[in-house]
Amino acid sequence: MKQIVPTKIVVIHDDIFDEENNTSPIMVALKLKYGDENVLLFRHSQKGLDYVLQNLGQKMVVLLDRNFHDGKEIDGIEVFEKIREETSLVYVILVTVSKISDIDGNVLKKLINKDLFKLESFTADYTKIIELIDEAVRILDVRVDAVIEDWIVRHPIEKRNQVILKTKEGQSYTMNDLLESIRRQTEIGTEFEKNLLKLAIELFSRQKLKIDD
Amino acid sequence: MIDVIVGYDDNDSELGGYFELSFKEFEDACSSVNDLNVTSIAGLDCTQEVLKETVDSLDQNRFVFVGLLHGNDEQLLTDNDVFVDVEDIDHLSNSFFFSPSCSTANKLGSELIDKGCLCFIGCIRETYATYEDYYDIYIKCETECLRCFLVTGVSIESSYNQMMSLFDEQIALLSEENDEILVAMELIGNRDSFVIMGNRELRKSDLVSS
Repeated sequence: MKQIVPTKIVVIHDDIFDEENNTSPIMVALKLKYGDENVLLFRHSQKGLDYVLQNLGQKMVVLLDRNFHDGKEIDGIEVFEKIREETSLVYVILVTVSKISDIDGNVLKKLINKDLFKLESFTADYTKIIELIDEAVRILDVRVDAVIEDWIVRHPIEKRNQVILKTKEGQSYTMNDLLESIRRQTEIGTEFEKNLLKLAIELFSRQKLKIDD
Repeated sequence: MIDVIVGYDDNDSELGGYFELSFKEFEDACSSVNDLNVTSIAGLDCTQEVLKETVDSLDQNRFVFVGLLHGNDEQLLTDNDVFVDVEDIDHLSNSFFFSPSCSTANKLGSELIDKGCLCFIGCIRETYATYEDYYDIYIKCETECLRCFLVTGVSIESSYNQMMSLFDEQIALLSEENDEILVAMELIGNRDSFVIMGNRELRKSDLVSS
């Protein structure tokens, strides 16, 4: 899958790796598709959560296990909630070996209200999971923050540190600051995103069909 | 005669030039109006005391107040002093208050209207002024409301709408003809930050003093 700025696929799962055969079919499939350097596996939930929170400036899809065997690990629901405390722009796919019908109603409500991207049963057939990751990556790529990121990387590095936005309060933002602000959904980031969309809408609304001209 | 008080901070380290240009644009735009009595308060003189003295000198006449300096939810201010504070605004209750400064519509604007201020036009968010080459366009758009109100004599609502139309026109020109997408986006942000509160039917003739 060719992307200008690749999406990181972060797998947080303690039971996805076959120790005996030293392999993981789903990880192999994901790395083949998205590139070795773009797929990361964390078998401890805290470490996975730390990685996500420390890298909110990049596009990410998180494949998250609901239940970790070790009781000391943070449960998948909690990891999801902690990600949501920081951003709603990271897409999270929660997988569980339990039946979906076994999940408590209040937990389901929480997942829906906090914008879980997908919830799926985890079985030996992982094709469904890969399809969901593909879908998340596709949707991420047409989101405004991803479009802005693609625009930024087309500029030389020295340009990315030039101020492109200055408020009348004297705060200045470079391209990189702005992307970070959008991903972190700060006021300035969401305003920039909104103004870009408004301009796109205004331009499109003014466009007349030229077929009959 | 119509009294106008303009406070502008030409001393500001970042945007002093912008505020000064804004004041000049206001002066130029209204130069054809003979019955204006403009009092300007600049830079370090932008303090609450100086403003109160200036308002007192108007002898309780209605007046236009224009604030061209930094703003926040509750204040207009300079690097050194506060010019208008939400806790002390009785002296502005006879004014039509206009300011393109950041965020003053959030608290200051509604408090002014509660205190009897005739009309308030200001911004609900932070506004932008990044590209110096285009300062004249940013400023012309922001001043259009005052120009229209004071020069043509139409209602403040019509003047406000005229300002919105000029923003639209400039946004279209910048984006379609000049490929200045980032500047056009800033103008969209500035345009959509403006709000109007109070008496929308207010006209210049309502402010004339003997």
